[in-house]
Amino acid sequence: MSAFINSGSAQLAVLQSWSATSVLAPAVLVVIIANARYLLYGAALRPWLASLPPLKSYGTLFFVGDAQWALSMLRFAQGQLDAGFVLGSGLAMYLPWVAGALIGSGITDLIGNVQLLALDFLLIGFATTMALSAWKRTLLLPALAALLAALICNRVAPGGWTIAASGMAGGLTAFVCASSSRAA
Amino acid sequence: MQPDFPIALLTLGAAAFACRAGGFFLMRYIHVSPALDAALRATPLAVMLGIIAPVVATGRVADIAGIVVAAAAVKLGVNDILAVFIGVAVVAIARALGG
Repeated sequence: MSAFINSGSAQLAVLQSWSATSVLAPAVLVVIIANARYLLYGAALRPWLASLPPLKSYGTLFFVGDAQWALSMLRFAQGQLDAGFVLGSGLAMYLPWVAGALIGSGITDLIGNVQLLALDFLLIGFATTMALSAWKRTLLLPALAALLAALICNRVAPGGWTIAASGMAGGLTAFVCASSSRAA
Repeated sequence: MQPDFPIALLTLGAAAFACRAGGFFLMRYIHVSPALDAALRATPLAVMLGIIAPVVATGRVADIAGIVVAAAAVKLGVNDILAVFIGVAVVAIARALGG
């Protein structure tokens, strides 16, 4: 499962819905909802990967993940232009991900409660450090819009939509800001 | 394991990949204007905030402490990865203490 889907949030959500029913269609929907944010990620990577042949660019996209995508975007903003970075960092996340799933399914009894070890905090911790590196004063309004969207969406429909909603709200706000500042 | 499990797995994998490739594919037919470029540049921060905000909204003291400490560590010049692990340690300790 980890090897094919390569998306923690989607897999978790699928496992939850799948334990209730064994019908496939809802599980597919869950994957799409949980992964809606990858539409944004892929779109944002377009300027960087566009020059590659399709097999390479789409092959690279398979390995894109949350933290790795954010890291790649930071490097791109800093002038790192080698698209190999996206693939390299993607593989660096993917291989331990699959290996970890194999090891984990064997030794979950030994580790015991993952929550107690706070390993579930890893993604949140990375999101925190990435947000700090990505922060720019010009992004204040998009950031506020993203926060607002995340909090509202989290109340109304918690889960996979939250990240997509905040991403779109931030992007949309930046779009409007950029349009109006050019018009002025 | 059910006999149709491999089919299900491939279907779910295809759905996940469609999301990854979809945005990239669509952008091929859209001209990247300066405004759209600004939007794409703003998404990483927005997405990261989308991950953090729901956690803060839960009000769990341990997790919030972890976020604050990890952020403070980065501000003090600690390496990002080390800062994350410091945050994890704080969360683990706080949870063990019942936070």
